[in-house]
Amino acid sequence: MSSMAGTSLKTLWLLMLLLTLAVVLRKPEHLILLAVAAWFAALIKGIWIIRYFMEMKQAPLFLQRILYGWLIITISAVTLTAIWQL
Amino acid sequence: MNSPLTLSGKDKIPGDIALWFFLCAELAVFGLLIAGFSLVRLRQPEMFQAGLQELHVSAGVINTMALLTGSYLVATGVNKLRIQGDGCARYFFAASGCGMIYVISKVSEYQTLYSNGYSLHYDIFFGFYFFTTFFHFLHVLAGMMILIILGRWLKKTDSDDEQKLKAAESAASYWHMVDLVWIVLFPALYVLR
Repeated sequence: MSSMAGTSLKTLWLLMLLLTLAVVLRKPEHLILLAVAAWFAALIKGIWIIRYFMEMKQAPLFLQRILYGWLIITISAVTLTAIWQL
Repeated sequence: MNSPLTLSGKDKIPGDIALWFFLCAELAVFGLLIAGFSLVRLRQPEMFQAGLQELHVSAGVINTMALLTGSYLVATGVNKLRIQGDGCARYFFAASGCGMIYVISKVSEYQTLYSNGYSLHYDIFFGFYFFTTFFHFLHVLAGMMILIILGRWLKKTDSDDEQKLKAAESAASYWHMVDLVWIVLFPALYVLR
């Protein structure tokens, strides 16, 4: 069980590193595509950190909503203001 | 049967419940800083665009890799502690080492910007940049100290497994919160420009 859980964490960690590199190295030319890719990558990484690294899967729903809400609001604010500059 | 992907029990908060009031307050402060950054970017798009171009993507990538790796090590350490009961201190020390990579990279970035004439008072963009990232930097330093203290305590203590787990989960939650904030700061400063 330990090695299975360790493998899951390792997989998520490697995927997060790949997502980070993918957004930076395969940077789309168009800012809207870049913004969508950056928003998606940050959202996925944030959700995985909250759910699996922070182990919030079994936490009270209100606390989960605070964390996911914070993530969605902040990353959307950052992305939308970048798109606004077009 | 416990694992990071399937915790037992309903409505379980990892770590000390009092810590979560503090973590939510911290997230609110960072949320306000990010909201301020976004609002001022709307009003001063040229200044922000010029400022963002001065930041090095490689530094942002190194920082992200270091913090994500630290988070992975902390989560693995908590998992090991839950299942094996000991031998997890090295994961917390290693995560602290990842924090050190972040610190070195950030200090070098500050040094480069400062030598190019940019400081907290240069303009609104650099005011936000230095204030927000330095505030986050202090949190990373605090997280590193917490992890080192935790690792040393876990090696010495005779406390029961539940107490050890509570302490480890609390320290881990703080570290993951710091990582979560960086997950949002990274695209804001190094990608979306």
